[in-house]
Amino acid sequence: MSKYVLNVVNVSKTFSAHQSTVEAVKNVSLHVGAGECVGLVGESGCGKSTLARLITRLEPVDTGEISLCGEKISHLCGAALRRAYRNVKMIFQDPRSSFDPRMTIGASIREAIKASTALSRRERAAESVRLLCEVGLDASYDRVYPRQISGGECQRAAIARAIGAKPRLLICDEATSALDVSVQAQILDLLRTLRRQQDMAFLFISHDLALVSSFCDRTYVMRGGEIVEHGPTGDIIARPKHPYTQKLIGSILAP
Amino acid sequence: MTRDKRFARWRLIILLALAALLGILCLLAPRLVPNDPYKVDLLQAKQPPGAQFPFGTDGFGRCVFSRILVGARVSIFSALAVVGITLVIGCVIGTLCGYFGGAVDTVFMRLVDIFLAFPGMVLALAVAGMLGTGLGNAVIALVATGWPQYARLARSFVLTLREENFVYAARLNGQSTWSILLRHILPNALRPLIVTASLSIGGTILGLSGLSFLGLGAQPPAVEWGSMLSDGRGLMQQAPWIVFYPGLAIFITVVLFNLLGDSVRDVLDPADAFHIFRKVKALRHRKGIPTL
Repeated sequence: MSKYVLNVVNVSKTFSAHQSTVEAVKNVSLHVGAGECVGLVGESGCGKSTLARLITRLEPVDTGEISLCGEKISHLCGAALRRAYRNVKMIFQDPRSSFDPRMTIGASIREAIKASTALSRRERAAESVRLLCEVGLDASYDRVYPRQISGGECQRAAIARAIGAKPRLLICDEATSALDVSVQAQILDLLRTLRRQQDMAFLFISHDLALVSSFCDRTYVMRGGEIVEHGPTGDIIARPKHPYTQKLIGSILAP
Repeated sequence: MTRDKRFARWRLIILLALAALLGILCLLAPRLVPNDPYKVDLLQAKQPPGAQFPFGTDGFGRCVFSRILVGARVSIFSALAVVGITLVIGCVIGTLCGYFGGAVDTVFMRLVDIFLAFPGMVLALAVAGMLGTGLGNAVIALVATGWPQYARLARSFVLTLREENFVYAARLNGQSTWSILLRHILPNALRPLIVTASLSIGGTILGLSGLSFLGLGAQPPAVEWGSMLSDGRGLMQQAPWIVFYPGLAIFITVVLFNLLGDSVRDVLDPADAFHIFRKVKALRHRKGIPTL
């Protein structure tokens, strides 16, 4: 078993449209250990979300290798890829859009449980309610539609759906950016609790360095598709080496 | 629920009830007819509307009212069959092309481009002409010309839906491609397609009637509204009721299905449906006209 839950080695991705090409991710390497919380910060458009989509194989990589729990997933497809997906889940920036508008929250969670476990219909229903309670929602949320609840509640439900499969890695792609500050704090508290309770690693993607510094053990700073600096979050904040990191830290508003 | 939404819902219920009534009339037509719709009686030819023959008789002495009732079954059910088949074929091709892309998508979409480049009725005439006369062939001709627009629409909806976060979430759940297509993509794409289909029922009835009018649709002794018009056009001066009542039946049915299509759109797609009401209200508000 690899010591890393996620190991990304020299991954690149270029998008081509008509006559122009955009190198979204350039030779990026990063790793996330078991139970570790790693931050990935950078400005909008620097390639953070593209990297998340490459890690989850929502986009194919051009070059490089990605391993999840020691298994190389870059070239997996079909049933093998679906099995690999049990180890990784993702929370999106817009929680409402991550739920099918035609399905209730409970139905979406039960569907996720069905895809990753062998529970019976009744057990899935009970598990769905248990997961909702675990993220601070009650059983009544099982029957509501995403449009009927707030963004914060929807994000909690998305977390419930993600942890149902007991993944080894949870990718939070700007998971709190669309929420107001008080709800952001609640979601972060929930993620901290989950981290304590379950041996789950986090890849926390954000443009907000202050947020990442309060949550992550190590941080990678990304700019123009490249990792420009990485290290323990405390060191990055206290002794930034790259001019871009210094600029990012300089832009954090003093309390 | 706002007043606009209540109005749209009630309008849909009333129109659905009328369409259901029409459907029941079609099904019970053989029991409801006052006279034998196929019985030729030259002594009763070209009788004006009266007690015995409510809509008069045609050039062969057949009861126009009875023939309209019996013909409704062919006209309406054939049109529904055409719309249903085109919807299914278009949905399947469009969904697969939109989700998987690649060479299959390119081939099918160029084929769709070719089909859409021809005027629909001209193409239907050519297909019906090649296949020969008969209601079945007329249905095939209209299906052959109708599926491309559904395929194109379904593809465009699927292209948008496959990039939605809930589809990504389903993929990360480990759901199979077919499960994602059937549980997430197709149900979300189907709603606007059903609206389009309901709006095209009226046009399809006209298309079938047109083909029958030109002699390419239902053949005697089968009764169809378009063929009734065709049979009676030579007698339009002497006995106008022979073409007037089948024409009126086509007109009422097409209007009913068009209104039904509009209502289905209003109820299933509220974002667009009340746009016009809001505009009118805003205009009245700006001009100081009290809202109705």
